[in-house]
Amino acid sequence: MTDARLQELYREAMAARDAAHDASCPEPEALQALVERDGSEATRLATLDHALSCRSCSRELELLRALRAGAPAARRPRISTPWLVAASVVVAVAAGTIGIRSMATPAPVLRGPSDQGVALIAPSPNATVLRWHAAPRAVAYVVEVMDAQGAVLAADTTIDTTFALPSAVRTASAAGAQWWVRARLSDGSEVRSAITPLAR
Amino acid sequence: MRFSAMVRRVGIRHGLSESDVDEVFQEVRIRLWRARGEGSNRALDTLTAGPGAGEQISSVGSSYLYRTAVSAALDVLRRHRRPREDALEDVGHEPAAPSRREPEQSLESSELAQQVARAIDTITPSRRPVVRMYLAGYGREEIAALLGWSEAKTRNLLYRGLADLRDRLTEQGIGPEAVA
Repeated sequence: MTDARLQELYREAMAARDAAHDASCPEPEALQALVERDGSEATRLATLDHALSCRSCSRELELLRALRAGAPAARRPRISTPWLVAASVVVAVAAGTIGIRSMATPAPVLRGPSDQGVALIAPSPNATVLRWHAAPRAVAYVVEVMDAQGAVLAADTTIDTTFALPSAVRTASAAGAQWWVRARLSDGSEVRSAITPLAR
Repeated sequence: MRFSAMVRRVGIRHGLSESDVDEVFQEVRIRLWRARGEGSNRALDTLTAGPGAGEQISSVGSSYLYRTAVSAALDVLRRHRRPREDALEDVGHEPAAPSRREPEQSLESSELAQQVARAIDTITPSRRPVVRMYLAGYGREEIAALLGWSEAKTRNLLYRGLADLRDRLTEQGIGPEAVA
């Protein structure tokens, strides 16, 4: 069965459902938490699963989701000033220098936490995945793992709040490896975490 | 583009009605007018001014406007959830779509739709919401943005979830030839 046919049948099934709320429906605040990505992923998935199988909740979710997507703060500012051009050049040069996935370029990069930075979650001793808390208005995260001298061992840019450690880096973590995360915000600014030892 | 117009553009693609948006923004306007003496003129201008005005607002004004809109929306939703005997004033919502289908072909299609819905209920919970969003018409980027996932993770879970769904349907004797 094609995807299009499945979509057609799914919509038909949803349209036939009762439009009234029942006791199992999450509160509007839970739908808003889903939109804001507050709370555990398991809770948000459960809320989303219900919302999408309930005509009333799906409509409410769509209203809150549209507000979030349409909010001025949630959009990248469309600024066509020389500042944007200059910033683009700086970013392009920095990306070229550091290399998004470069493994060993000791480029001089300013590192340090910002006032309201990204909160890292301390990894367990044998962790294979690094995690951090979502920063408000973040549209992407740049995670870097460095050796004791500050050379980048691994780096990635992601919209997720996790980073799978390459096996080579896991081996090196006992030798003083460190990591940090920078969040790029929807207004073009950036907040950073502190540089933190990988193994504690 | 004005905030309300942007919300309409985003929401109507997925079944949100004009009246839903209008009701919320009417509530927002009332709140902003009430708070006008407390320094929210700029937020009000953002809501009501023409195209391009939104680019000039500060992040503080945007944030205030968004929080006001969310607060208004939550109040509207709570109001709509009141017991039905109080809900006669809920003029913005359409009645439920009639589910009566007399023709035999519609009955077969309806039964197939229910089988698909039941099969979705049996998918692994971590994949099920992604499949539901996709089948409801959301794009992968929208799914990834809502869940805070990478595009690769979203694509992977969607691919596996749809494979699960087709396996379940095949087990029920509904194969690729089912076109009703």
